[in-house]
Amino acid sequence: MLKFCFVVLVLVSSSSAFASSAVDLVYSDLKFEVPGEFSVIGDAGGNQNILIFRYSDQRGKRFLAFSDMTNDETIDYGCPSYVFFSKVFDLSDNSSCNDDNIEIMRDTFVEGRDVEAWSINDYEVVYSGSGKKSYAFIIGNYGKLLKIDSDFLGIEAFRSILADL
Amino acid sequence: MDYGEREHISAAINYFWGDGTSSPHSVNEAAAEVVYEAITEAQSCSASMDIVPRPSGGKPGISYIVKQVASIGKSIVAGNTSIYQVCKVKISASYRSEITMALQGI
Repeated sequence: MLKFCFVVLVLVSSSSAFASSAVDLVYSDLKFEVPGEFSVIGDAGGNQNILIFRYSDQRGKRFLAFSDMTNDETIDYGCPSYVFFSKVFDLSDNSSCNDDNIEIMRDTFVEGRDVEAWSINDYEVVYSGSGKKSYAFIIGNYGKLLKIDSDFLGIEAFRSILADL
Repeated sequence: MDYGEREHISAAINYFWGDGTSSPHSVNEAAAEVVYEAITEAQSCSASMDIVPRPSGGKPGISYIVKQVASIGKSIVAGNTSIYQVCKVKISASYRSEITMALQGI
């Protein structure tokens, strides 16, 4: 009986420790620290290799998603996708990009939103947030473009997730 | 949702988020709701939504949403994509996670 109780105690302690800690994630060769309380992980794949963590029991709610947009061709960027988003956030000035689509993207990710940019190692990170949804674009100098989005995490959580790229 | 509506909703999803994102088989009501929400949230897109008479008051029901999104897909299949081009740019990156979750039941 004593042995049984000990086993139960260890399991509960381990479970509690896991729930309150961050979990290391290696995604597209970069390291992230995601909140550990997720209830579902979904490897949705597709051409953006989407990986989704859900932090609720309700489908589609309280999520954190990772997408690799490096080779995305969904729209006409007119230039490599990482250059395009650098220009959206005024980090570069490349005349070969589709300027009409740049303006539309600015309307989506810049106008009326909290936008902050910072550097980590060889990457520029741009956060674009509102009360409803937050995004972070991770832009590498050598062509990489990752997007992280969430419907419940804000900038401080994003900074923690991206603290150790 | 009948098969014709599934086909047209799938066409709308594949137009906005790229070929291969969905198939008629993978389409569900949650995916139709995401398309509807994405287009109505992107305000400059919403003018293109009034194809089916909108029910009065409150949030529209799922049957209205399915008909609306299917109607957009039917228009896209017919080659009338120019009026949705701005919508596509607006929602292609901002709602990809949501449409993916809806289609895969995540």
